[in-house]
Amino acid sequence: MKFTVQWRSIALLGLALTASACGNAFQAGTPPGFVELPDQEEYDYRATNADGLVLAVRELEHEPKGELSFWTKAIEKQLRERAGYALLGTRDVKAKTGEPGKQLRFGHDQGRTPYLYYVTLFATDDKLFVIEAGGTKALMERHAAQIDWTVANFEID
Amino acid sequence: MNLWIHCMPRGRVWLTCLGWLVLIWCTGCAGAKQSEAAAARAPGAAPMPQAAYGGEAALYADDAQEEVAADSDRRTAQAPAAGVPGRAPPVAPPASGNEGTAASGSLPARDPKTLAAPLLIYSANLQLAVFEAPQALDRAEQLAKEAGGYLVRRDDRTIVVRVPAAGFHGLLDRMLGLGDVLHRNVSVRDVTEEFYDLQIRIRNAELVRERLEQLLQRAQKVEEALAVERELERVAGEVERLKGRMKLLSELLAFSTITLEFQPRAVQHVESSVNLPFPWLQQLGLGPLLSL
Repeated sequence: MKFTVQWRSIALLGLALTASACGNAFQAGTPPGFVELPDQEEYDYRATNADGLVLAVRELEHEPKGELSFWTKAIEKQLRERAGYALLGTRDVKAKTGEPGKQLRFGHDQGRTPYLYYVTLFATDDKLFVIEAGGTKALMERHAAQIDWTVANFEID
Repeated sequence: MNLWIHCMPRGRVWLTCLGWLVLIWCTGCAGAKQSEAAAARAPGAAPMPQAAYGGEAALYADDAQEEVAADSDRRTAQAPAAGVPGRAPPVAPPASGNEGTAASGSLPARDPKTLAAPLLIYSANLQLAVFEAPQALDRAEQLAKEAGGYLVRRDDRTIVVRVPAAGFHGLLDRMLGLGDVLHRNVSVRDVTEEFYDLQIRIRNAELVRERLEQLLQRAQKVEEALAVERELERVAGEVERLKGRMKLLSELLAFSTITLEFQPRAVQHVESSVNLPFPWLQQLGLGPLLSL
């Protein structure tokens, strides 16, 4: 009996450790009208609405260490100079848990259709959190409140 | 006088009188000829130079000097405004109306180096990378109109506007802010020499035309009249051609041309830069995000 309890405790501890190792260090709220997509490989979280507006979060190891301004600039340069996006503006944001972040708003013409792509970045000592939102300009403008809600309700553990 | 007559032989007196009569008659004829010519002249035709039958070179030389002096004064007055954007708007030079009719074809050559200010035609070609080209086109057109310019041509990606030369540089700066500059070409053309050369050529051609009109009035035979008319037609055409060129030049001096070509932002138009060694940066973008 004693043996069984001991093994059960070890198994639970192992499960807890495994869950801790594989889990995310953030909690992203899925806004109304969106569904979270399961089994994501490139993203740690991804959700979409029926129209095709997509929200996603990447959690990255903060290595090498850099300030928020460095990563913001790195993203801006990458998207403007290499990927052909136009920077429409930047704004300061704050996570629900109080961490300061930066949101970069990009535009991109796909044929005759304009698209908007928002990248929001939070940096902690250990992690970088990149929240992405993208879709046609009309869609993004129509669902601006949901995007803002996602950022404002983003929690970092 | 009486004593002089009495002292002369009788035959000599008659001869002298005859001489005086012939002289008076000749003078009268010449006056009548001039009156007839004036009466026969078409309304509005340029007045015939008084010394058209003699000493005309001297007369034209004087006129030429007056014209040069007047022209010099005019240029001095125009100098600060002569087609130099950023200073003051260029005063569109007169399209050589009747000012040259009294001038000579032997005007002294003008040295452009002595001119107070050069006559410059500015133009710019810009290629800008933008997001949403139609909006950028609208903005460019609006900026041009605010600067007193006007739209020349516009299509999906390109807009050509003309703006007062004085506002050229200011507008150019504002246009450059519409997007990322991929290519910029600002050109300046000095037309000072061509401009004054045109003025002289127009004056000369008008003088020739005037002279031909006079000849036409004096033509005695039909063949002569026809030949003069043919030449008159050719010269009149030349005058119109030169005046057209002068008008175009004046227009180009008064308004600068800005051609803007907007391109969607694309990788191939952007200069290469440092590629940061963070793979996740390369994975950012709408492509991966929207491929569900």
